Amino acid sequence: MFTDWQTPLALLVVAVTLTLLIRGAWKKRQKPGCGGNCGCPSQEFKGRIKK
Amino acid sequence: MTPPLPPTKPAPSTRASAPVYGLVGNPNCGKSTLFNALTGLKQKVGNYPGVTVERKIGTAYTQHGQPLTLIDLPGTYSLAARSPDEAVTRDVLLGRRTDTAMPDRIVCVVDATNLERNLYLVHQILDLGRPVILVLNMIDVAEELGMRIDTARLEQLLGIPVIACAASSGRGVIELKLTLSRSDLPLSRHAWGVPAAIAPAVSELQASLQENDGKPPLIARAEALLLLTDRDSVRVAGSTALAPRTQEILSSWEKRWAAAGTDWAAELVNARYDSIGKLTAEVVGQDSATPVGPSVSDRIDAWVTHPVWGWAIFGTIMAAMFLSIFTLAGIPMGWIESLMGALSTWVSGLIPAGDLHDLVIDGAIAGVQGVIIFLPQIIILFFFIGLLESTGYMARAAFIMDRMMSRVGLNGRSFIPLLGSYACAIPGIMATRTIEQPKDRLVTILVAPFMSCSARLPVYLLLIAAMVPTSEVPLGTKVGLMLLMYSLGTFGAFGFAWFFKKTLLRSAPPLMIMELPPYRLPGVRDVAQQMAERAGIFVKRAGTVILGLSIVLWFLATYPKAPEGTPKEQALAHSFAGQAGHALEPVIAPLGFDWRIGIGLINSFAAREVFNSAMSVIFAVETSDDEEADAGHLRDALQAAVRTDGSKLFTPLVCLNLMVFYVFAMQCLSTVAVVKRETNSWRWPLFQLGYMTGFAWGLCLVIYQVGRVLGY
Repeated sequence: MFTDWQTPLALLVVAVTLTLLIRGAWKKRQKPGCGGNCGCPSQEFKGRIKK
Repeated sequence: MTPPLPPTKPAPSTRASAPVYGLVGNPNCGKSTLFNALTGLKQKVGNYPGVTVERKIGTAYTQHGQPLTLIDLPGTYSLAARSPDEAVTRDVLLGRRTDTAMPDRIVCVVDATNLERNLYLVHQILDLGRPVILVLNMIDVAEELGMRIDTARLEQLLGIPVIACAASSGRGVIELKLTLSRSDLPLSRHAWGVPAAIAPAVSELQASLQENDGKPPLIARAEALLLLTDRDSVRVAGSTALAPRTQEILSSWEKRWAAAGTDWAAELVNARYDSIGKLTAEVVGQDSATPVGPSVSDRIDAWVTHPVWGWAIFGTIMAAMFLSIFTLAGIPMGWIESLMGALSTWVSGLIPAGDLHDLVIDGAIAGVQGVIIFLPQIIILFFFIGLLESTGYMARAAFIMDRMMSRVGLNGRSFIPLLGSYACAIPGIMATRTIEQPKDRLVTILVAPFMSCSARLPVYLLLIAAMVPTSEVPLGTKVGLMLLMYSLGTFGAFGFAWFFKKTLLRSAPPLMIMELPPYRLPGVRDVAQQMAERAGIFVKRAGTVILGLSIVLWFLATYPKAPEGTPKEQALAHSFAGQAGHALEPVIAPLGFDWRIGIGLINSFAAREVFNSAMSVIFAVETSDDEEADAGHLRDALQAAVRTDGSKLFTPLVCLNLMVFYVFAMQCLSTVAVVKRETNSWRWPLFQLGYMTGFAWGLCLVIYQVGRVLGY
């Protein structure tokens, strides 16, 4: 019985997650680069420690 | 012959409000530190249109709250550009760019400890006839070295404001802000003798530039002088071309001088240095109390850059770094594991058994845990990187690598982007913009992803843990394995660079002149801030992209559902992920990888560390009926995993092979996108994807098959 309500809810969570991931990828395509998500330091901070 | 002196009356500001300042200087003169000190976080970072050179614009405020716009131009030693970023600086200052207005005023930042060399660029900029402020940065270091710079005399000789400054400590920044807010900045009075043989050409070119290219008189003169030394070899998108008549005049003079044996470029450069030499002789003195001889930095460098000891020190530092990663991270890793375990138990109590329960526990929590547990290692890695950068050791690492780089046809300038790629290939590839030769730049881009980035670290750590049981194997073996992976990537990059330089991208090996900054005590605040920033990025990534991908992966590993009562492994094989893994299996089976590893490999294209999440999701799904395995660690789950014939899946040979595959394969879509942008074509990223992944496959095939023959 519990599975009945859990399955559509789980699928809804998956669908929302997928939409958000695609939206994020699309936004990144418009502004390519790491976007700070790759683990590299932000440009301003990189400047501060290197110079 | 001495050219006519520029006017000395104050230059009116060209704008009623927010004058635009261009910030220029040599590399490593502290320009960016000063830019940050003046603008704080009010910065906008973008690219110059059509060319991948970073454009940083910031807003500073005067003491009276008036806004000032600052453009941080790429560092250059002279206006004779040798790389795309230097060409942008030259073009902005000469008003050649249609997308960026010429700055109203220029702030020249110089390294006070190297005044003579830094003044060459200043000398060229003073020719432009714009209001200039000269900032003697790192004055504190110059004073420590016993240098005495007579700023008042320098100000008098040049006729422009001169500010002594130490941007890192904030000294002189208020004085600079006060000067920036002045409305009556004077124009320079400096004069220097253009050699008699060159002067007629300067006049003729100046006239043509005014008439045919529409340049203002002083800019035309500066550009004429530049054309005679630069020959305008580096051109970038967005830069306006010279009028044909100006080109004709330039060519005719060059032919005339070539016939007469006149080295016009050298004559001009020497004349400038003569003028600078006289200037510095008058304003720079040395404190007699300061002992003359090698500095502390020089004495340290005698060891650190030594052909033998330099490598020994480099190896020791790397070994210490990886040893710390393994030894210091254990306790905080335990805390994270307990925290995630408690979260899992708490959520289990809230949600009864079912799909949503499985999604949260086996998908979201297990997937994120597989990555977030390595946060302590990431922090330790970046602590070391920050420490090495902050002390000035990174430049020495590039220096000792230069010897090896020259053997493969590149130079140390290429090693700096490669060093950056240890953190992430994307900023490393973007840093190749400073490489002068296009072919060298392309070679560096093609090999940069071989350097083991921070996303590979969690994968290596997991596989090393699965490969060697903690209690039976000495710590040195684990450290050695990690060093081996990092070395494989580095030597792989060098090997392919050598191959490309001999075949596809053949060109003469470039020379490198490199400045080694003095050693400094590490900036604790900067290193701590860098660690905090990296940790924040890693946690954010785990909580967003990795979480999202884990949820999607759970769906792919669960649906379509197999009929009720199907054994778990068959249910996984029936799922979308299982089908994809099975489709890939014929290609990867000769490497010792089965379809479950194939699922991890496919998912790694989104982000390499998702391999860990994939393993967490897959093995949690598989073992959810098994109480003992459920309670175990991911490492134990991998060690317990078996093939259909009952043999162990993650044997030491398979773990090693998988790590080697991760070292060499191109598994990062973000990097592919950045290479496409940097090379402005799909040809090179697709070539890179093909050759890297193909090589990884071939090498792993050899390792696995030879390993099997040898009985591993």
